[in-house]
Amino acid sequence: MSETPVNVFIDCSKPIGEQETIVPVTAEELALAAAARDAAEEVAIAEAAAETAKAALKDSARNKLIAGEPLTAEEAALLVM
Amino acid sequence: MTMKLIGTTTVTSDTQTITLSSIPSTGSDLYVTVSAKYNYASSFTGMNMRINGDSSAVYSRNFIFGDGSSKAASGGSDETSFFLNIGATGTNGTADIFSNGYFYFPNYAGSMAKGFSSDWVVENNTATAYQELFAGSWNSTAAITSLSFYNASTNPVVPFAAGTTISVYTITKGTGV
Repeated sequence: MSETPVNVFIDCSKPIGEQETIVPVTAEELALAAAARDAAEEVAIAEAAAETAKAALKDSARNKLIAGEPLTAEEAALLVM
Repeated sequence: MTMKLIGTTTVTSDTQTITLSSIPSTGSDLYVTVSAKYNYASSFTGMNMRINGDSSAVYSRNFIFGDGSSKAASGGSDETSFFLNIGATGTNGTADIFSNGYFYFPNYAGSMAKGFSSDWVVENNTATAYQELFAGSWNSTAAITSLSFYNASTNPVVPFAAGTTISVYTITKGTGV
């Protein structure tokens, strides 16, 4: 995609053939979209990091249980959730 | 019972959002046909639809899906738009192959929550041919006066390609008995 996209508005109160208004997507809208994208990426990164940490904690708890070692409070909390 | 075309467009360039507004409440039911393709390198990509610009969590859907070899059924509730999984074909698909489908809204101007059905297929005669049937609801008592179609992706922006066509019809109930 190389061209700037547009938004198309169809006013159904007008006769067919006279309904269409084409409005280029503005720089502000593109900036808002970019901001939304960045925010979504930040949330996704944070969620992925939390998920990774949780998985590591589970692995640690499992390994300690198998080895008969004491769990940390955080690991124990994860197991009784 | 009569059917009347009240609005239509065929876009001629990359289009981010297509909005049909000022839909009159003169009909009994509303019927919307969509023939869509994205200018984006994928086989198919989802499509979002909003009613009256409503972005609150009042959309629900159930769907069954098939691709020629497997099937699935699922759904969602309290969503902020109506999401069609297969939506539209992309430029990785066969040239001139679009996704076609419809929305049917019975009693669209009534004062109860609105239900609708929607049936979609990628118009491709190959072993892998996506198709999807939806039942949806919009939990609002307002009459439907506008419909917007778009792809929610912002990275990248996934625009409708030239040739994408959306038409809306009112259907008037029978009378005389």
